Amino acid sequence: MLTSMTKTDFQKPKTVEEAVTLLKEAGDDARPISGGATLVALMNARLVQPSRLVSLSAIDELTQCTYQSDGSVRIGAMRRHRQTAFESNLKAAHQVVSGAASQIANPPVRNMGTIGGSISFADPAADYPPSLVAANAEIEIAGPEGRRRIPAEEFFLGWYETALEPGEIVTAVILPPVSESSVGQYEKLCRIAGDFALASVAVTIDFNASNTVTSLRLAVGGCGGGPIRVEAAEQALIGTKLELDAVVDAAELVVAELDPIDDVRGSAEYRLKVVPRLLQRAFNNLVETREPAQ
Amino acid sequence: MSQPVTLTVNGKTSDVSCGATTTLLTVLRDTLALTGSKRGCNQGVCGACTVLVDGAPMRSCLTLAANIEGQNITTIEGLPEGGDLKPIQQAIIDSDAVQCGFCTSGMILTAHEFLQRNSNPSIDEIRTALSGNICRCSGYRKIVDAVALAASRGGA
Amino acid sequence: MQIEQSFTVDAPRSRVWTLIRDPEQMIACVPGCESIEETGPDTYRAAVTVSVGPIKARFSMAIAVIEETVMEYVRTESKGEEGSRASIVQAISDMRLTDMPEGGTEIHYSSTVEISGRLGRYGAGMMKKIATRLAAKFEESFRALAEKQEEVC
Repeated sequence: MLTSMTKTDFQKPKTVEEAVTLLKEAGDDARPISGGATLVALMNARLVQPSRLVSLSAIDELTQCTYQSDGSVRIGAMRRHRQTAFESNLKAAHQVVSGAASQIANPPVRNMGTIGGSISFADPAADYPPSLVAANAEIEIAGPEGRRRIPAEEFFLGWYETALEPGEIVTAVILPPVSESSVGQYEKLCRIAGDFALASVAVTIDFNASNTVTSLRLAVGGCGGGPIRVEAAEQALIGTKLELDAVVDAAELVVAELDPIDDVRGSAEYRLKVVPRLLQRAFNNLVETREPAQ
Repeated sequence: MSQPVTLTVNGKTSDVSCGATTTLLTVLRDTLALTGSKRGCNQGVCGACTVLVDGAPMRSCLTLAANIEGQNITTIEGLPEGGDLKPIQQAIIDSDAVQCGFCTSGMILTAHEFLQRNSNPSIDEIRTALSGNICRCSGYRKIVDAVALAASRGGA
Repeated sequence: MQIEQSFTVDAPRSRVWTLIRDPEQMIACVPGCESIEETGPDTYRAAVTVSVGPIKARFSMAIAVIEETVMEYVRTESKGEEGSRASIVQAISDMRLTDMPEGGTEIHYSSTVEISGRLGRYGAGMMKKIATRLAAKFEESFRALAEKQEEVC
């Protein structure tokens, strides 16, 4: 039968501290469970058989998304993709994150999956990682030693590896304050609706009054072990007005940094060809969303 | 390791005993004999196991029974009220939108929740809403027609 | 799947050879290796854990040296399976040592690996990236070992 006969025990603590203690007690094979969209699928496929499951569902703190007085936004780890997709606290450049959330899988899975669970699994083709790097987000982590915060760029180590140490969990994603004139865009190419990205591009940009780019962050997903930020391309675009020539030149710098593989979704070669188009599409869509405000 | 879990399914509370890794789908089908929810891929991809949890469509194959105590679960068996079919159910029948029927309960529950949020959807919006439910007979056209029909009749 | 890499260590070839042929020393260098025991002349049994994200596979490996030229070249055949036979790995590996003009040793390593079963879920492209990452860890640990030992002597 499909009912698993493993001796897994199930815990549903009320605080982060209890959760961390329960994970530590049970050692390496214990797993936190948030929405279940990834972990239960792996368990059903018998790829993972945890010794203990620590549910994060009853921890209030993790389910909140708050706009903080300094202008930053704190997204609790248990926020579902659907909540983040429609999050009213996410404005201007932060919309790179809500945009990514709205494109994850399909509506019922977005009702289940959480931001903490998704980034902890760190699928190289997932939607949040490049968007969080482009948004210059910080990841808040709790462990036996207390809490720490690290930049998203340092969180994703590549090929399903993250900076999480054994016993640690993600508690929140913190997006830094953004100016009202900034914009964010996430573009994804996938084979069919609901699939992981074949390749994706996330950008956040700020402009001055004459429409010149004053700051820009750019990250690519699905083309390596984790999100790839290309600072050379960012530098090349700052000071421009995103003219076609500038974007074409920057796209070359981006492609040079990618490290894609051949897989069921597409060949490495194909990915290198579509990323410049995705980048162009992101900029076109950004300009369109900005124009009515001009 | 077996543990007691209290589930509220279609308004009825049941005490079941299940393992920590037992999914809601397994409990629905094997313990509660509610076999309207189908086990397709068991990976959250196909949508045949979709149920409503506190009104929102979710995958019962990816939901651990032990993790949803206290929440209200609605399966296809619990959708008709007092024996009357919901508008979307009647529309599915009237549109001949059932071929093998394996995807139908997931389609109906997903569409039902969608129509409650959007009473006048475009065809594109219907398609997007149903994008997480796969019909391997590929009978999408009539399913989309049925959702539009239910909407035109003003119901969910 | 083909994996190939070469790296140099600042240690004489004789020392590198001794280390490579010493199972006790190799436990510390092979990523995920928990134990190696000699089961006969030139045959060994090793326990190796490979993790990909949350998925962890513990292989029991049978390793046989099938060809060698002392101080220069060794070819091994490895076969491993998980306890439940959920994944099977097979590999033929060649290692060749060459003196460097400036005194160190170049280690050239190539391996043909086949993985099937649950870890095969990850395509070859992805497994190659993981293998490359493991190879880099091996290089780092081995260099530290080879160069440290020399200082001690």
